[in-house]
Amino acid sequence: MFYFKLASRNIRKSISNFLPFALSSVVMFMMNLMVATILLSPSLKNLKGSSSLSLLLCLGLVVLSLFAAIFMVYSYRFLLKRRTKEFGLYNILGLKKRQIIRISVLELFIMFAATIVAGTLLGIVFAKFLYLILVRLLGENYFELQWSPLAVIIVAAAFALIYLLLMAIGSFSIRRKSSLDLLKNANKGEKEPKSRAILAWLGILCLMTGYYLAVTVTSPLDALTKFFIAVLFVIVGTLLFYMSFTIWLLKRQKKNKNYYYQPKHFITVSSMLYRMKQNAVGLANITVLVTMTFVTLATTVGLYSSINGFLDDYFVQNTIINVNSTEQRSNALVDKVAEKNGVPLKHKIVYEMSNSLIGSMKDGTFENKQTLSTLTMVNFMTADTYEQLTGKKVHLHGNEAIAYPAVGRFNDDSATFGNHTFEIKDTIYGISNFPSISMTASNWLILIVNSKAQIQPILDDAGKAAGGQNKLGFDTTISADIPAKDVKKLQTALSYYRANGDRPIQSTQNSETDIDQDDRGEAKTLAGMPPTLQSYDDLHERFLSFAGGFLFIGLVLGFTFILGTALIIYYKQISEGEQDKRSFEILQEVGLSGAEVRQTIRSQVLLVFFLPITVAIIHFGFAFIMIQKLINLFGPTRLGLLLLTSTGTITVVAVIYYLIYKQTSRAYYRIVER
Amino acid sequence: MLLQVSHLQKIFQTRFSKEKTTALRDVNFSVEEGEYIAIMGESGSGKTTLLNILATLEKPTSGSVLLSGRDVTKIKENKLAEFRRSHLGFVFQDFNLLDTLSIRDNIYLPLVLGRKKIHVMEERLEKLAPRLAITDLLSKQPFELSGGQKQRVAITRALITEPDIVLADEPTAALDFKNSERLLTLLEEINATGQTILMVTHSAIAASHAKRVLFIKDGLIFHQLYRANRESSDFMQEISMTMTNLLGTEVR
Repeated sequence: MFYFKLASRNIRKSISNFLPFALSSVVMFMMNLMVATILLSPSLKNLKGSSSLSLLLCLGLVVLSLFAAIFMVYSYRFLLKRRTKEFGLYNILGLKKRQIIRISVLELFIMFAATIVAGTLLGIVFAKFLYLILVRLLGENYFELQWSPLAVIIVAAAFALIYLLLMAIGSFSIRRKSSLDLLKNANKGEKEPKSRAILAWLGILCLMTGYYLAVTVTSPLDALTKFFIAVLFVIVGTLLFYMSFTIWLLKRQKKNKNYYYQPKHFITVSSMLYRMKQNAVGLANITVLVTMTFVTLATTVGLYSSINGFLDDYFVQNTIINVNSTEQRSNALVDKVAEKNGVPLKHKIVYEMSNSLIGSMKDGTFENKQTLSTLTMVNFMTADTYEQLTGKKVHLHGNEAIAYPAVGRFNDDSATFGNHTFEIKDTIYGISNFPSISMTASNWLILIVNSKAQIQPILDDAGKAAGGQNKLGFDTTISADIPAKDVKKLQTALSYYRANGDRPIQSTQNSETDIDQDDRGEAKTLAGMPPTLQSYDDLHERFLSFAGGFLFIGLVLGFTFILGTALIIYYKQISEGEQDKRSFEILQEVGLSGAEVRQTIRSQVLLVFFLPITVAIIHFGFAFIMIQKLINLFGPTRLGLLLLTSTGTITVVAVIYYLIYKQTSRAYYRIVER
Repeated sequence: MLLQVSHLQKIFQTRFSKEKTTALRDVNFSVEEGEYIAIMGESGSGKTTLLNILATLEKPTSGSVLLSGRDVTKIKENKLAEFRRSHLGFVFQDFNLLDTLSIRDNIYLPLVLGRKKIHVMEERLEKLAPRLAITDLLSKQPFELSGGQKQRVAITRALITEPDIVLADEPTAALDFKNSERLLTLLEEINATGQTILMVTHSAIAASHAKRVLFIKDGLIFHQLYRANRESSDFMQEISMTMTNLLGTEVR
């Protein structure tokens, strides 16, 4: 009981030391609890696309709790550092180290209990608010959210683990130090850091590698796999950059006597250099966090705002019907079914294309390989169809072809499929009345050729390579405007038909298909596949629920990252303020005026403010290329729009960052100025 | 007459209490060029307040401090820093070296703040360094130095601006006996070259190296002793006697 009293008295007496720690603990708990509550709430099931949403939330929760652990450790170590003297005093006054450890463990226990109480209350209140945002983002209007005791238990358990870790850290650090160490804990002087050229080069190499990976991604899937590797390289590179490059730069400035021995530079350069070793880690942390915020928010905002663009590019008219049969037969079937059900088909556009070949397209050669970086979907279109769509007449002789790389690039003079080669006569960048995107993640290449007969052998070869039974041929796409209420009716009516390439279309009694059960099954091959129908509204809803979920998680994580940044900056300012207090006193005694002191502080603060954000923006510039490709996974990006949303996000984050900096700088000034 | 202090009074009053504390009541003394003066007193006697006023770190309640005929108490706030760095040299009891600067840069500090040319700084240091025996220390960092070495560096920093007067605040307080002796001899040598020094101390040993000792108690200077041509040990005896005899009784 005595120890408990001592512990609670400690917290009350040095509340200013405990407050940042308590605040970060409660807020982290709250963030975790809010996401967990939404994840476990039964009302989540009522939202469209809830399964992908709950997966996203699950991922978000994992990231959040990892983050919470990192920040709590960071925060607690700072707290410990400030309290070593107090512990040292206890030690000298006769408390054993074991007893001091008991006090610090009890303190943590009190903090833990307080966190759970405050965090749960706040979490329940704000979860409703957060859920409201989620529902709005998904474009729905189901606002019911129950709080779940299970969520509290799960998050509390996670935090119990974190606090156990903190207790271990605290005990270890108290046990390790001698009582005199505890009492003094004065920072001993340190040698000026050496500038290690090898580290500088390694850092630059890491950054270059990361950047190179980002610049050279070829396709969305490629971006997905390379993204994390690039991120790792850039994080390591950033740390090394700050540790070596900045030291090297400052040393160079110091060597230049005419520059160095000026009042303005003298103090800034020397104190930056003196502190650079510990500064490097802090600056790297801030940079990485700011970059993470940029990337998370820009990606999710970009994705969310791109939805309409994707769909406009994909849907030539509001409904797309795909029939695996010839143009003539498909068209006749759809017309017949539509008429029978009284569904008007307006602005109808019909075209025929080969079935898709999916494989690697590299240096103009197509191979049946699943290489992610070069994965391409190829469709053939005849010159007649092209003319029918665009009204433009093209003359193709022999094995000449026109390439249309709708997604990705194609710059080669020829395209080779096995032992068939097409000479690329021309490359075009758009076909009117034709979608400019596909719904697959790979690149998409359309080749316009002279006749069907030319490509049938290629299709036959590909069909055999794919597994024999499936014969590849041509299918037909019909785009039309259909009233929203009729979409479902037409879809149902069409599902009773089976189309299979050149064979006549059959009707069945069964609307259910066995595609899922036997992907290559005999029955399906014989009977064929039902026509598919995609409507704008339906897809829009699905996209919105997906991108909305993403944006939601992005906002939650982005907020947490900013919070983390604020915490790090705050601690940095406080600890530096305490170190610099003495220096500025001396400087004033030696003859630095108050105005000059303020100017020196400002130039130091500005440098530390601008360095991370500048580096973060450069990082983001390279990440942007990847983000653009990643968003391509879901549909092609409109560069202008993405640029706009990214700039917007960066501006918003930068403004928040600036406000944080301004606030925390005040803490610094307050400590430094007499 | 280099320094003329007349009718100096300093009363402290905290913002939220009516209670006043008189640190200096009526201090009068003068310093000739080339003098070496020690001001002695117990803690609480007002000697630190006196030094702070001379150093322009604090303003007196009334009275004047004339340095080379200029009243330093009337200098405007924004000109003070410049005045301090061109006319005064400081030596503190805890050295006050900046950890972030090398020894050389610590010495250069006031000159850099005064925007002196590099070759001027280098020339002056070249002349001073051998006299203070710090030539080997110049490239080191403060934490690598002993207390005595640090204080020699601090003295170099005070001298490099070629000040009118060096103000020393308990310069030997943080040093052991041997280093104290060495430092006091050094100050004597520096004074022998014509540098005016004013030192505040409570140590009779330190004071015994000065040419003249002023005794301060309860905000008044009430006695002074001249060393004349005596050995410092003899002078110290008299200082000690004076301290016990005079300071033991209350000033009326």
